[in-house]
Amino acid sequence: MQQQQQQFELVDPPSDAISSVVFCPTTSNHLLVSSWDKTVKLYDVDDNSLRASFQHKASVLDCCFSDGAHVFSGGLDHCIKSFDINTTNESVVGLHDKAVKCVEYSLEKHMIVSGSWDCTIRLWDVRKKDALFGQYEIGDGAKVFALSLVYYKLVVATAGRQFFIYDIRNMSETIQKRESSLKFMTRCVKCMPNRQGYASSSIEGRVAVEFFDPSPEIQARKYAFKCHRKVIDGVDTVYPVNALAFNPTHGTFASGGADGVVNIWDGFNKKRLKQYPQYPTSIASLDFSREGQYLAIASSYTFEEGEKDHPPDSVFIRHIGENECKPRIVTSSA
Amino acid sequence: MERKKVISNVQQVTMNNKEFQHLKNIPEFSSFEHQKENILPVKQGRSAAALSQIFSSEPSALYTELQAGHDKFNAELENLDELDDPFDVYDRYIKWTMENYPQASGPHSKVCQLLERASNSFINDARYKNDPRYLRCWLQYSKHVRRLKEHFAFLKSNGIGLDLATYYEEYAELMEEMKCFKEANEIFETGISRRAQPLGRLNKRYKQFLTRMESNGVNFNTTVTQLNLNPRRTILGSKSSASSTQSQPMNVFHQRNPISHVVSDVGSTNVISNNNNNNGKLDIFYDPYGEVGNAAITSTDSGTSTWNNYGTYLTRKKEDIREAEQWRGVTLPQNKKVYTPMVAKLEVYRDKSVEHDSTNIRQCNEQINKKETTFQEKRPKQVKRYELGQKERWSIKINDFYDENDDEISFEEKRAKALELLEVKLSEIVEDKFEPQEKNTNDKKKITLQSCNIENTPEAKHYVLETKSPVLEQIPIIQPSKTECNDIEEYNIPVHKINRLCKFKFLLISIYASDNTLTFVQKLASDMNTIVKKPSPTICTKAALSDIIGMFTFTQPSKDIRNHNIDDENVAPNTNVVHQQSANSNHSQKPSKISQIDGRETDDQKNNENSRGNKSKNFDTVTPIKETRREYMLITTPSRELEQHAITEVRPSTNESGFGDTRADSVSPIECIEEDSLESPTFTQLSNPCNPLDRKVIEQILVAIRPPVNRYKGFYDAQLQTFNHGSKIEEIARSWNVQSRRGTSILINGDKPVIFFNDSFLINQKIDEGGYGKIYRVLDTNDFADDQDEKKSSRALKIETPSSAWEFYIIRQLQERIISPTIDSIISVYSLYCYKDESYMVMEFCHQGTILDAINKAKKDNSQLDELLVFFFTIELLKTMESIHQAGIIHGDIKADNCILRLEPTVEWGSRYDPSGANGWSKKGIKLIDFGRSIDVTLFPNDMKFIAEWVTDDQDCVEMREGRPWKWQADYYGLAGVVHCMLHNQYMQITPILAESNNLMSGPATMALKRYKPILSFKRYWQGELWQKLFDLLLNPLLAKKDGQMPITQELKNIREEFEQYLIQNCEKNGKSLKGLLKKLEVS
Repeated sequence: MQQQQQQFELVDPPSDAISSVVFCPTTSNHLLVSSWDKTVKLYDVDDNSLRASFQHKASVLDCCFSDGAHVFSGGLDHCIKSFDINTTNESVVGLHDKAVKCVEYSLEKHMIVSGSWDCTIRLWDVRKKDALFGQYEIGDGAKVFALSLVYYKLVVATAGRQFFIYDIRNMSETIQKRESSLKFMTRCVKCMPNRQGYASSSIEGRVAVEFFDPSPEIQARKYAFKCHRKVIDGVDTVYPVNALAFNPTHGTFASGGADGVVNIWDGFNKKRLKQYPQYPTSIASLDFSREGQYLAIASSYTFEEGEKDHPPDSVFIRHIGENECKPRIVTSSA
Repeated sequence: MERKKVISNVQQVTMNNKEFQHLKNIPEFSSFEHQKENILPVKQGRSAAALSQIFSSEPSALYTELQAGHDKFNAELENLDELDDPFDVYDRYIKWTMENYPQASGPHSKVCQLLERASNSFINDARYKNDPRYLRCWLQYSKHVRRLKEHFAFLKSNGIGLDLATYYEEYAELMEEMKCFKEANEIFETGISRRAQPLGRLNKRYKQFLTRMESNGVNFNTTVTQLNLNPRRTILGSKSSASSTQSQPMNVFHQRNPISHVVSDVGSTNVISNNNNNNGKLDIFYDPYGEVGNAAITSTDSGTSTWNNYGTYLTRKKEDIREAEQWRGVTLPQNKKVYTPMVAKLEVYRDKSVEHDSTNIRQCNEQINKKETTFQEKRPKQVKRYELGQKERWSIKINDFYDENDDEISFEEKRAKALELLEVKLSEIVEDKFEPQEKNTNDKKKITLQSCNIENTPEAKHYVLETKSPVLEQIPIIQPSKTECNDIEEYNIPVHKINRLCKFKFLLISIYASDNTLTFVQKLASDMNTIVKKPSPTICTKAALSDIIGMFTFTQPSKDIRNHNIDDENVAPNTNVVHQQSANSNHSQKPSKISQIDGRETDDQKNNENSRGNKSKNFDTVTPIKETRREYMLITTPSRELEQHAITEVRPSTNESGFGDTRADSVSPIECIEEDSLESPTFTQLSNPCNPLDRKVIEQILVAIRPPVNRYKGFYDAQLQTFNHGSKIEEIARSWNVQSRRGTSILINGDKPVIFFNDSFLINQKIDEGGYGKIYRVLDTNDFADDQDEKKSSRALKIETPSSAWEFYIIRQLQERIISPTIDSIISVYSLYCYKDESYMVMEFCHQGTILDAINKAKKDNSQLDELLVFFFTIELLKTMESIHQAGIIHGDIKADNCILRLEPTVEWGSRYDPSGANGWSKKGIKLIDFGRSIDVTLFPNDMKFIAEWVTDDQDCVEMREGRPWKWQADYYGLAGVVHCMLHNQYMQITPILAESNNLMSGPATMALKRYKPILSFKRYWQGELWQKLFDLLLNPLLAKKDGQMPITQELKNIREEFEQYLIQNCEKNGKSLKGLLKKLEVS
């Protein structure tokens, strides 16, 4: 019973792997789920009901909200679609040359930022009919794997373990280009809500926390740690870390791995706050709700081991207690 | 005498016993002549025999001989104490050495050391104090080292040779050499007073000295006191007397040894000892042990000889020798690196299994792709580098996530690949994508579109032409309807949808363009044609053709075809806007040909045109049918013209007359839109920034513009024809000038008008000439014949060589895009006759001159434009610039001579300024001319910047001058320049002021932008604050907004409103009224 209250599974989940779960920035109860079954679905987590859905022509890889009423998504059909929740109108915002891996909405710029395997970042001003605002080649043709936006800062993680930091007001120049602090392929990147830096995860069970400020003293604070490993037959088995999500209020973050485990980390004190019991399969995506009271956990096989039988794809909504994600104040001998 | 003089010395060789014995065999000079340069001259001369012997004997034999001599003397020196005259030994030894070492100062001689040893041994020996031999020894020594005053000072302090005349003679000689005549004089006097022996010789020398001095003009009676100061002036060169102008060059010796000089002075005279104190500043020589200085001072102080050691030559050179210092803590430089013996390094750990894996993969890949040699090196490196910890294991197969190029593959890609989703054909996706829209579109429109496409393709052209007439037969001519709104409503939506579809089709074509396009298109064409059930009013246009051709010739990958104009703003016109616009354009057009032609046209056609005109903004003003009909009249016989019905489409394609087939006669809505949507691919290949005035760029644009320029109203296309009338017109204008000066009528050349097509113009005078071409004032004969009103029928004819349709295009675009009454502020153009070599643009003629004329006139009267007028014109300029910027056009060349005054007569004209244009104020203002450098920004990508590739000057904006990319700045700067010109009667010059860096822009992206201001400051009684605000904004547009975005139209509008408020309140103050000022300007 206790378990039930703490966590529930969404009814009517997507019929194929889940690519992304995103909470609405204005209300706490709307959750957007994009899936490989070509759909983007909007759930009401309070009622645990499916509110709306729309389709792409191919699998959807990412979705985002702009405001409470408009959502955007992109996927293997190369196009970015917009959907109006209230009117259920859908339209095509624009096209990439290859599959769209990630979409994000910039509240400050009122623009959609999309990253694609065509090695470009494109900005879309959806208020205009001619939506493409700009298109920017990333590096020397590096596929975009993940991107994250905070305020005007845009962090783009690409193939080849590269990170590019932009100011979306001036995309023509890269503010910083970094090599990943992790030695293996980047899986996910998320910016800290306090705009100081970002966390990234790799396929080799590691998470790195980095900071924007290029000054040496700030850079000295960056670190990486091992996680999502399991000892099997005396051998440490390493799982990819697929998902990260920052708690908007506390600045702590959750990580989800292919081991099906979700951890909550206190990045300030370098402590693990919580580990949730294992989910049926890999964690594909994570997101905290607006005020951090829910954590959406997409438990969906992420194809890391190729074609295989796997448990059904499902989305779990977890209630987060008030202090569950609060960083513990290290009481030094005050 | 038989004695032989040797060397250059003239002195007699003194006889020596030894020499005497050898008298008989005097050696030949030749025996040592070859060595003469090596022989040091001696005062007494040298024995030729000795020299001969030295230089003739074998070196080794000589060495032993010399060594024997040395040994002999050294043995004698050992027993020096036992001798009565110990110095005698030295004396002989010195003499012997001098003789046997003719090189003297050579390294072997040791003469110097010997002299040193000899002189230093007897310093305190009273026996030799006044021994001439001993003194000679000292003097010789001093000559060997360096003759210094110190020597004499030392000798003096030790009382050596003080009774000998030689001392004083030598000393004085030295002083004389050093130009210290006073001292020399004193020395002689001292010697004489001490009665130094031989006194006679000393006196004789002194006399000689005095005569020398007299001949040099030195008088000791007067210079005594001044000469005291001489040492102080050594640095600047000694001046012999304060009054004399004679200044002697600085003595090198003095310069090098200021201290030694002083020391010797101390030794010699008390007077000079003061100098020591005065020269305290020149503290160069450091004497830590006081060997020299202290000794000198003490010797002077006590008067006794405590300075009893002169020191050796070596010790006096001690500055060159490194002092011994502590070694503690000193790092001794090591010349060679210390090599430590090699030790076996730690062996690199290799995981056998992974190595095996990777090699397997490598082999596989080799089979697949043998070219991948680089990969072979890369691959193992990366795998090895990023090895898991020893006791770790992957949950995944890491190698699955690297492709053959060693690039990472994300899980999603892997899955997509596995599901074969990644290789989905783009066409499918595209088709799929538009499905929702297609659902809404009815089939009819779809087919219409397709047929349209077919006809537009180059290959299909022929085919279409053949089947044209039947197709066209079925064209549903839109019935003239009185309720136009309905018509529009009905049409709008499909048009919108079609546009989308249209693009989709083009996408399709472009995708397949790479392979056998032609066959595909042909096939498509024939296929589609069978589907055509109800053809739409479409035609084959060259424009459309070139579009397709362009696409194929560029053969850009599908990637480059931008789809971002899917929702083109032009596509779905708001009915209201269209109405308003059409109404507006009718209203704003001055009485022009349009109305006349309208009159001639049948009602049917008119209605047809109207209804079409309202379909969409695009073909409203673009190509009304009437205009094209008119063109037809030019090239076809009247009878044929009569045969023409509403459908004129067949003609252009079949017409043989030069330019016939390039003409587009009617524009179907579909065409317009579809062409519009494909503009951008043409420009994607432009570099950013680019030179917008590049002929190639402009040509490219003009070719790509849809609808093409030659379909614009008033465009007379004869680009295949050469005209070459420029020089003729020039001649006419010149003769007109002559005639008008004579007072004859303008009509004098009325019988030879220049004829373009069926328009003819009478050329009057030349108005302007520039790099772009020439402008003439002409009379339109049509108008002129009607009412004989010269003013009314005046036109400006701008001739450009080579021909250019650019300005015409820009003005037409502006007329189309600007809806507000501001259009009056832009020169209107009637027609463009475009020939192959020249283009003739007929524009409205304004007789009131430019702002520059007004400024120059004011300048002539030694005044300037009143600030109120400047306010007025500034507002007008701002208003105009805002509207052209809003229309997406940059004028590019705003300057005072491109702003024509527009002060039209009005019936009602309120004296209170009204910015809205009421009360006749709309008739007053300016007109912008010369759009030859304009840029249509809408043709370029949003982020396009431009670069000036022409020679820039102060009138060009900072970015241009510094070769940085620019965009809207050109106009802002230009406008600022005009305003500055009006205010100051001078061209603007600007200067940077330090700008605070924009705080909001953080990180390395922040660029401290310079803030500029005009150099000239505003007059005290001006509205400095407002002007400053304006200039600040115009000169620093990038700083206007927080994010540095442009255009800053809104900001300019705000400031314009401020200006307007000011003008409203102050237009009638202090006895000046804006109206009055304008009236004055109007009259003049």
